[in-house]
Amino acid sequence: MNNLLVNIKDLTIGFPNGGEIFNAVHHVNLEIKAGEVFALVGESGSGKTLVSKAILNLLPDTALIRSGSIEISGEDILSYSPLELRSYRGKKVGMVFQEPLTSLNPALSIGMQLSEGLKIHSDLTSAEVKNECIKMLNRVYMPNPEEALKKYPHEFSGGMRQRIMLASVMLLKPDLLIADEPTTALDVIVQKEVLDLMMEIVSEEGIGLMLITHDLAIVGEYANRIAVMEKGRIVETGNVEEIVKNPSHPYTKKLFSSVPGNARQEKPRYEDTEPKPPIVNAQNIEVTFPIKKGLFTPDQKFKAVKDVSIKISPGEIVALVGESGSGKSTLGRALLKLVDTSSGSIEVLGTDITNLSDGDIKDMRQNMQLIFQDPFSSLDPRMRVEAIVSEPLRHMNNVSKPEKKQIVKSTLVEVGLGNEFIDRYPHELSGGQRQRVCIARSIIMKPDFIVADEPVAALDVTVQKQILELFSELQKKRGFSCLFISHDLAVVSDVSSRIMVMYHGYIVEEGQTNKIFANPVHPYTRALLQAAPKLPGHDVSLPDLTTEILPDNLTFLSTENIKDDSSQLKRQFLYDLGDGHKVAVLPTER
Amino acid sequence: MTRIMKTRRYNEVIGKYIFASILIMIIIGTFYTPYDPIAINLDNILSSPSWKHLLGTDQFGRDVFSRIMSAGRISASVSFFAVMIALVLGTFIGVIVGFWGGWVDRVFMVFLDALMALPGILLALAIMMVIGAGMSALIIALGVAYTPNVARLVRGIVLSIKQKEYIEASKVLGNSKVYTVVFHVLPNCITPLTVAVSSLFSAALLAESALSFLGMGVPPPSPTWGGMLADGKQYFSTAPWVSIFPGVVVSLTLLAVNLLGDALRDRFDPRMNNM
Amino acid sequence: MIAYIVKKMLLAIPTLFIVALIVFCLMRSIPGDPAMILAGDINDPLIVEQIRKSLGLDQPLPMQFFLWGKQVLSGNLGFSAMTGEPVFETMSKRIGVTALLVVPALILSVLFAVPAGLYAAWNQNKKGDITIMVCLIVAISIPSFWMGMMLILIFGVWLGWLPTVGYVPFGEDFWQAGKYMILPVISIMLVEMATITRMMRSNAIEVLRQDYITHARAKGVSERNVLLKHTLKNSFAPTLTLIGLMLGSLLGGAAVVETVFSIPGIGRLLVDSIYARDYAVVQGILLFVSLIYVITNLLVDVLYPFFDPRVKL
Repeated sequence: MNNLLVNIKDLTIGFPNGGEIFNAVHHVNLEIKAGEVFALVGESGSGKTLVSKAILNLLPDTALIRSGSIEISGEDILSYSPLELRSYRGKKVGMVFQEPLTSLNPALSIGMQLSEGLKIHSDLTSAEVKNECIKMLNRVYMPNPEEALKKYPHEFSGGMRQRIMLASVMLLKPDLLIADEPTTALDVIVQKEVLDLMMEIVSEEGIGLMLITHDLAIVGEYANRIAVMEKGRIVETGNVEEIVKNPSHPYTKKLFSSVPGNARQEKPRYEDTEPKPPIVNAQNIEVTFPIKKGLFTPDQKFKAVKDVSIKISPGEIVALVGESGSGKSTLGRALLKLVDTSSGSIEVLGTDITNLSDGDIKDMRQNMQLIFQDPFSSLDPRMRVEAIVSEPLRHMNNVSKPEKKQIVKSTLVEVGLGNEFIDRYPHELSGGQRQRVCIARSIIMKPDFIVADEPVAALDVTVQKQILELFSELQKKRGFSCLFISHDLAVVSDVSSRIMVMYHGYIVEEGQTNKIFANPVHPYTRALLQAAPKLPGHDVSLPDLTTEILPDNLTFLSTENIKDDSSQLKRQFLYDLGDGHKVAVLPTER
Repeated sequence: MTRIMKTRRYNEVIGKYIFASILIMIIIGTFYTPYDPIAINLDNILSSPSWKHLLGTDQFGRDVFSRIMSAGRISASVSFFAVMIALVLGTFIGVIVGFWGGWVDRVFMVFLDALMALPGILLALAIMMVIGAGMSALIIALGVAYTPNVARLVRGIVLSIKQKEYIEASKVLGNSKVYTVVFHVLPNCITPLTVAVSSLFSAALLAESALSFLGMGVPPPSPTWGGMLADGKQYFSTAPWVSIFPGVVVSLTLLAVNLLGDALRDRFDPRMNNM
Repeated sequence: MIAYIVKKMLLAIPTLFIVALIVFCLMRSIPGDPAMILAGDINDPLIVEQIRKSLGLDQPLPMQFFLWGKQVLSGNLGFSAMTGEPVFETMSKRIGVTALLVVPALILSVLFAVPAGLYAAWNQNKKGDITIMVCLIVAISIPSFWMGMMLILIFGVWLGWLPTVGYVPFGEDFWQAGKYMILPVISIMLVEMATITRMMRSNAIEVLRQDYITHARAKGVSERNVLLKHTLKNSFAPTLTLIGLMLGSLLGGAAVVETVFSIPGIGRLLVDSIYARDYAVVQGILLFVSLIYVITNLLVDVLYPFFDPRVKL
């Protein structure tokens, strides 16, 4: 009667909690058709993962299904016996997990993990199984599939592991693929590759895809239908285009308005009216880390930051963008002298800090602060909020205790935390509240320069927006300069006036935010912008790159150049295209 | 789920009750015992448990129950002070090498590996050979013998704390290394160390009774649980009560400490047992 | 592979050097003049002087360490004061006996611990798990020597099934020898077994919580294979490290259990030598025990990559 692949009716899942039962999923109804990309969207704790696990009947032991039914291709899977379940799992429904680092067994070879499912669900001979595996690895564009079968998961990058996961699931030709935040742990360019590949395979096989994600931009780019979950309930469901254009539920509206990057157009550029001496002026700095090899082999060196110059004017927010491992955090820490530079000079507030001793830099620390990425690890778990925020004040000798408490209170109010928070411990706060405490601690001594290292990366999208707004507001009020580090171009476009793009330790492009978004020049910047998923209606097609932009004797410092890093790179420099828009180039060989 | 919680609660409660009863017995034993635990009474050698002598008498006619009561103080205080020595020394060393790292750490690790290669009991035996027998010697020997374990543990804890961003945050705020260690590193060591202390205490108690059993413990006539076991060994087949009951008390004490240790571990690392 | 083993072996050298230094310092700081002790009743200063010279005791300390080290490396551990035999010979007679006690105990512990730990983890917080955990915590709380005495009392004295104390070499009467070893092996292994099981259980619980286990289940892998194929290897790797570390405490425990059962092993020899102030033998045993410990842990390091391929060879 129906071509419904998934038909969930009135599903309620609860957990016993001290005599009572706490419902984590409330009366959820869901339908997915074959050949459809269905997105289940929600913030952390919304119950979206529980729903997906229920489809595989893989709920934790303590979970109780309190009402409802789950039918897959018309069969009630909740009534399956353990044996029936085993032949159903994998064969009918496959699942790809979020964290490619932990979803493959580190102790078993790729070949064993790939073939395992086929051996359970088919009668193929070993040779046939191996053949199938190689075919599948070819389909996910794995180079050298034969070799790959003998390797172990740790020998592959995150993106490659996610391809292997996809291969191992698709080998069994399931009717439905569930992907639970499949690319959250990946860099944006790799994310696009993996998602494109997933869509390609799903549409070739004509199967259904249930995409679980918190990222609305991904939904907008890839999904046909969407269901929005909040606190265990589905609050809105429908076609993606309609909901993006016209969300009706308040939560959906809030969610969509929180997507960063929407405010891009109105962003005023930083006006450099009267040139003042820069707050931060770093020239040609390099940071080198030794790689410990053991007692008997000499340490190797790893250059995290290569020949970077950076100037930040008073009151300016400069964004530093790059993928994980690009050296952006190291650069930020070098500007605060939290890591030592191996060459170059850094001036902060007119003082050359490159050769300052630990003791001398201590006196300057109040004036140069850092906001951390992870609000869970950057607060001492054994201190109360008051102690955390007032810690910097201990350097002020002429202020009495009650006065200090008053300063703490007013600073907390400034970051939006009332007096009731003063006696709490960090674990009693939500992620957003913790990040507010971190900000309060950083600004309490009124610093002139702040490095914000991915301050919103660990937060849900609605909280993210609140914190970003708070941050911009505080910056306007207090006028500090800031280096804003992020992997997310959309986030950056909302707050910064100038952007620097970093790749493998090099700055490859820098310029005014509007310029970079409207007319990116460097191939890597363009790739980044193109890879970032966008909501429908926000597509900005990049202008074609005019080749004449560089003089004849220069070429871009390409990603290939950088990857096979050799000494010739010493010749690279930033070429000024005018108005502070610079791009990394190499002189061409003669 | 609730039944599980109950079982776990039972374990903790049982642990607490046993521990409390033994503690009370030890405290009373310090001031009062039914009979003199040391005085020899040759009229009453190896008499079996009766109403007069609840747990019987030993080869010198001394009341076993009275001796167990008074031995508790010595056994417990030896273990307690040994643990304290190991804790103070080990934490000091562990924090320094863990926090400062570098070559200090490398040299220290070689030393530590070497010390770990000598099992605790053997190391304690060797140390007692140098500094002689006696209660304080026993305390020092056990304390020193268990220091490497504590140092190793603390070093590991400090290394993981060092990764936490609040340590870098402390540096960003302009705090000195010493300040950071005292106000941020040490307080965060306390929780994991509390769990370790319980297993350390049971190890020390076990080692103390083993050494006493080997005749290397507190010299007679002061009774210790291990020493009583050793005394009873000769009369084992004819008068088993002389060694059965001290063993029961040692085992119960160890059981209580282990149960409480597990309860602590559950509380501080709830992932391990609860879901 | 070979480079990895060689590297690990080279790393063991500084450890052994420090062990030797510690043992040497311990022995030299024993109060009293070793020469006087060796001379015993002979109170002739000339003879004492001679002994001192023959032992190299008139040299400065670092030189003494060097000379002593050279001797140790050539297998000369000095002579026992009790028997006058070379220490090496005295020890080698006893080592086999202790090995017969420790090796079976270790093997049996692991054979029990691995399945029991996996089973308990899989049944976490259910009846089977709770029963095992209660038994284990009781086992850990009973001192091995008292356990030994109780076993003798029950199986030897009251039931009369097994011999009480003593030792028969396996060469003489195999069955009889085996019977004599049963109770000592049980009493020494219970604590180790319980410790390894608990470790195995908590590792397996940690592994069972991983995404790759859910992934395996989502592929339709049976629970049996989830445990045997996906959990066993991963949770055994850290357990292996513990087993290496436990050998030390097993050898320490041997001293006590051998005393209870009157078994002429190396632990008993150590206790006797300490009583007799036979320093050369004590020194030899300490060195030997730490050598065994280092070798075992070397073996563990070599085996480790097999269970966890992330550790590079």
